[in-house]
Amino acid sequence: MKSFVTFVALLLMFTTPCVAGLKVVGKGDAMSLDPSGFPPAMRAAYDIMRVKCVKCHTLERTVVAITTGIAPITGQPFDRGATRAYGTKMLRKPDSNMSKQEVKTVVDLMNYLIDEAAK
Amino acid sequence: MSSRSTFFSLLLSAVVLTVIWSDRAEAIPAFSRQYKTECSTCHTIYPELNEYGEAFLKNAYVYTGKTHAGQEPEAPAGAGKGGPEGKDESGRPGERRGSVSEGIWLSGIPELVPISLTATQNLSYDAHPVNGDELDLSTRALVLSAGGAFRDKAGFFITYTAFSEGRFDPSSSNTPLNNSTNIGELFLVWRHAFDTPVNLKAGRFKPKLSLWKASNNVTVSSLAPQVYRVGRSLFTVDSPEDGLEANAIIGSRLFAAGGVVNRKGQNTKEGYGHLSYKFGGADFLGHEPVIDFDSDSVWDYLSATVGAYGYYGRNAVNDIGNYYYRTGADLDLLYQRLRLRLSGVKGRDSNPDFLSTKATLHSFVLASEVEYLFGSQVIGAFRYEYQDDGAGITRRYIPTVAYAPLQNTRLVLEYQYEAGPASINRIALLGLTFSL
Repeated sequence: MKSFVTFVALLLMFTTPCVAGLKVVGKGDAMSLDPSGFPPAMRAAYDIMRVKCVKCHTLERTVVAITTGIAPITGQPFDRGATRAYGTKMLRKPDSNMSKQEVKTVVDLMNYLIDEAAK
Repeated sequence: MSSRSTFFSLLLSAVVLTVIWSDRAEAIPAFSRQYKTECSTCHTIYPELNEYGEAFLKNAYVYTGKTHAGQEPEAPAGAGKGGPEGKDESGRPGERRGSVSEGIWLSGIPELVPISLTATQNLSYDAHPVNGDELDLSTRALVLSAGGAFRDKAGFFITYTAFSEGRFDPSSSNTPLNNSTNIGELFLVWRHAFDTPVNLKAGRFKPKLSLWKASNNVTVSSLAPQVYRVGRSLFTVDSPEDGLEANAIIGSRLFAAGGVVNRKGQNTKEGYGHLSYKFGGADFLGHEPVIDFDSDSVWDYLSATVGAYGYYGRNAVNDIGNYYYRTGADLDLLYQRLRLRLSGVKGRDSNPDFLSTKATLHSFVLASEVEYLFGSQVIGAFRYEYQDDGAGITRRYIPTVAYAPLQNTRLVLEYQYEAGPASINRIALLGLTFSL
């Protein structure tokens, strides 16, 4: 019994935080997702997100929104309607340098991540 | 060394010093601190507002999306409860307290005292100065400001000028004296009074007339229609006044405001009204337009806001009154990185010089400004102004470059060519402003 408890304690100590199907790595400003388990298309989309979105804010904001279901700044629900609205906002943000296709890809990724987080 | 090379040496030094200094700056003003977001959420280059900043302002300093005070939609099914801005642990429906302790939240007190400081340092060069001082490097102003909301039920905003450059007396000081300290604005907004869309504002504020406050741009100088005066009357479209205002977003794209101004020492009240409507872009509630990601439309990026206003008032000196009115219209056009502003105002003053024999003056002032955002740190702008204030016609041509090495720091290089009724003035200005 004692060795089992020790084993569980050690397991907990070295476990990476997970939200259902998502694997969150790092903390604070360094927080991001581990895309190794994503389908290839979503992995490619994550590469776009990782480069474009961090131009203005850290990935922590996105990860918190996806894993909690609440947009961290506005406190509003972060659902499929919100991902489309944020995508539109970033498309129209003059200095975002995101094309429509890139925004669409990232919105699809966020919808996929929301579904994974809910599992 | 010639005066020209001295000027450019100082200009270069100022730029270099700004860049070196700004690397050490770790400053964020009050709203950023409260909402844990960056200045660019609401500003292009501060203090110029983008459309989300406009929505935040119209929503009395509460993030948009909450339809009534203290209410917000329920979290979606499956949403976690944690996170820095998670739901109220007490489980009270309709209000969110985030990570604030219950006592502070129940008291309606902001967790942090939301105070900011804004400092302005200007360098100006005038080849033909009145006082013989061609190059002037002065600390122009230090302004304290505070703003926020009490449990989303009331918004507040305060500006207090701690220093503005005053008279220079070499016998008493090496630097110019403080002109005066004063409250610029101090008001409270009861949001969605009686559970209606109407916000009630009381205190000292700038009556909602033009689409923009005079400070809502990246240039050193303000748009002439907002700041011009007639005769000795101190009234401007952008003047702070003591009064009451009701305003509301009707639907999501129409904004209406009206109010009464109480001028000290006279019974006659002053009144004003404003209407504006926005076509395209995010609406006044901050909601994004519906965009088809698979096809292109000019409305994906285009927005146009039109506004009209009127003000009727009376001011007096030694009981000699001046009755005046202003009517104006504005247009704000935005397409991707390009912004165009048009502003015009017409006015009449019955006795603006407060003379025993009345002398009526009519005024007509126009401004047009085009600006373009390069990258995310530089805005180039050009403005043309026509000002007939009853005393003569003045035309101004003002090219400007604004640079924000950090979101809280702005360096502006502005050239003003002013052809007035009696003379032509050419002034170069380098303004450095930072907030913390």
